[in-house]
Amino acid sequence: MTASAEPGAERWGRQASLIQPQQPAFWLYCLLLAVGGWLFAQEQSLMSSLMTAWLLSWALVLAYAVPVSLVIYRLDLFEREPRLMLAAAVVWGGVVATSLAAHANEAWLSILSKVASPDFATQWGAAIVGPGVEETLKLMGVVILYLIVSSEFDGVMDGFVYGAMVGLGFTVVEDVSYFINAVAAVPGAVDQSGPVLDTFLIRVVGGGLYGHVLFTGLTGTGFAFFVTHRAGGMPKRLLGAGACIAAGVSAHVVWNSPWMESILQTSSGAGPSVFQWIEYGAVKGLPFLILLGVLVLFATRSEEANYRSIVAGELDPTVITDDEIRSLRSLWARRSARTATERLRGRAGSKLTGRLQAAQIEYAMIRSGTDSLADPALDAQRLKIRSIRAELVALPFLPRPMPKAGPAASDLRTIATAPPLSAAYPPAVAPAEATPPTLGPRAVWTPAQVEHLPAPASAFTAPGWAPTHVVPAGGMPAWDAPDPARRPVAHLSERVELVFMAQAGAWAQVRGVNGWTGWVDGRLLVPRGW
Amino acid sequence: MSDLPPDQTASRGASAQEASASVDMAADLPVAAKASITGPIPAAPPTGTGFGPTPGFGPAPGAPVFEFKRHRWLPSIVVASIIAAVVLGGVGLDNVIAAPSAGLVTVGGSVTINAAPGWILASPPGDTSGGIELEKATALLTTQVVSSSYGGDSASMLSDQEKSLSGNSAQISYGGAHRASVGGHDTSYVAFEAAVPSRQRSGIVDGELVCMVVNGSAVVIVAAAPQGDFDPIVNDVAAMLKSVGAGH
Repeated sequence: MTASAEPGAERWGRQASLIQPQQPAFWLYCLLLAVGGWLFAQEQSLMSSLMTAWLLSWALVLAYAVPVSLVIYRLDLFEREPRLMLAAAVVWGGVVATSLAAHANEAWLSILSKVASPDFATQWGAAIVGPGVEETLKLMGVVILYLIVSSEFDGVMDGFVYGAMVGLGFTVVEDVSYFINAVAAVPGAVDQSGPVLDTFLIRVVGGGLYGHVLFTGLTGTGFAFFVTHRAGGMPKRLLGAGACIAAGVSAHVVWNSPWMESILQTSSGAGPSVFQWIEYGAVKGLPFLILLGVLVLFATRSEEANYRSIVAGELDPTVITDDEIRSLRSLWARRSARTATERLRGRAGSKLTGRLQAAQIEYAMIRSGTDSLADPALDAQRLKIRSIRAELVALPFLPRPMPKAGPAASDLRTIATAPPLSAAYPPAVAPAEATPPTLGPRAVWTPAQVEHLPAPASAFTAPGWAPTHVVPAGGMPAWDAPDPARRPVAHLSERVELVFMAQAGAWAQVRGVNGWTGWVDGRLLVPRGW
Repeated sequence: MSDLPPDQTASRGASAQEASASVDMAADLPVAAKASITGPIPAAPPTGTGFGPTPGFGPAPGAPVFEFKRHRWLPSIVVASIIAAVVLGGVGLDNVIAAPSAGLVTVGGSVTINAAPGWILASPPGDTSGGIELEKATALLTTQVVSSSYGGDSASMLSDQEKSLSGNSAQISYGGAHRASVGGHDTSYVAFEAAVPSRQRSGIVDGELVCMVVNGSAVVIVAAAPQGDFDPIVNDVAAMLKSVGAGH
């Protein structure tokens, strides 16, 4: 069985390492990291002379950077990038790009003041030199990562993720230097915390959304468009990439320019308030942030289409349904699916749905990396998904409060159009309240395979029943003793829950919910929670 | 009794009849389990470990072969060139391009000063009897001849100028005064820090007040820059002080 994914689908399943000694780009990265790291260490050593301000600055920027990095990481809904690659992107932005930019900015500002005028350089230097130097150096980081592991650039979304991570690293280190400069600018520098907090409010609270994460997110998206849309023809690729890169650079130019500084003016002569900074940031940065949001949305839709292509042709309909693919398309949709399950089956149901979603994404990663539908890793993942489903449907339904009055017309319409509760997650066994006295499961998708155990010793569910394993796909035979010379006494249906009791070699003694006990091949049992 | 139960992974759907076509290697297996075993029974898991399949990792990669990929050289060289052009190119170009300079400027008809590279006249050249203003980026240097027939020394002149400057500034503080011979001229100087009205910056400036006696002319030079911007111009200021000389 071959050709698991549809033609044209991107390969997701082969995560490559950053460590690629055979790639010249890898050594270029190392060389520049060494140079940048040396400059970075010198700079930080100098700043740490204001120890309180330095520590506070790092604490504040990390409090901002960690959640932002998580958001960027999670926005990459389907094929998440290797963490080492993401770390390399952050390090490039924070260590290499900032260190090199500091020297280059100074030189180009000096050139600008010579060829234009000192006044012009003072007023417009940040808007002209900053974007040119910094966006080039940051984008080169994305390009180097691509040259090291080009297989990790599967779509436009990857360019956004790597670009945003480079930008995040850059903004963290740049913010620290701004905070320290604010302290150094105060005569005497007795209070090291006040200037840091003031600058934090201005740069992070007021304008944190519109900084380098936005700029390099846009330019990285443009680069990824160029290298991943090879079928579109060179003019289209150049146009798309050029537009995104121009948007990223333009956002930086507008942000650094003296335009709209009237917003910051105050009648009393005092400094602008935080609200003025927020307004100033929104006016200058929000349009570009919206543009980036639209690009990320399109990139996500593209990844969803790719996901569909990858999972197409799966013979087992329980691996993923069409509704479930739709529920994976955004963080919001995923959360909605979890919330819907939580309403029916409680918090445990929500957690299991989250695990099911993660397993379905992982299934596509594995499927994309193999040419055979019979790949053992793929089988194992199918089993994992079925096990999660089995756990999910085994959860009891929450009691639903009776409405005091009759349902509204809108409620009736919702009820009338809603699929049956079992449609989303076909139960492997009946819900607890409907469990028959025998272990007979209701595997609704493979009814022909349903088999029943011999008459149970007890028809009642043992109190404190806590199954540890489930029967694997396809079911398994059971013996009354761990002796292969005997004939199996039963064939347990798949997804039946069991309690592991004892072990003899690879034999496992198990007990069913109704008290039946027997011996099975313990190697085949699937632990609950897979 | 065997420690190993039969491997059932390949026996789905096998009937007892099919199972009779057993494989010799599975002689210790129950009949029903002998159906379609086609390979050796996997080793039993170590005692005490959990059951169930392990996650489906792919096959272990072979030992990496160290080999430079020639087709990757060119893009890497291009990237390195772009970075070098931005960083080293900027630094090199900055060194090559000569900064504009006001050159030799006559002040009050009796004193000359040679503006350092990058220092230009803040106002168009014209009557310099009231002094001149040179600027570079945010820094400013004013030079004024307050008397062309001065009989005192630079220290007393500095004392007078400190008082004058204090009267014009809301807040100003001075460092320690120094006296030296600069370019062969009697010179006294003092560093100061002052708060000046400013709309957008902090309004704090660092500066240096210099008084020189040049061939009987009393010359007052004030160099100032916003706090933090003074250090980069220190060498320029020193060079310009040394260049002060008698005019025609």
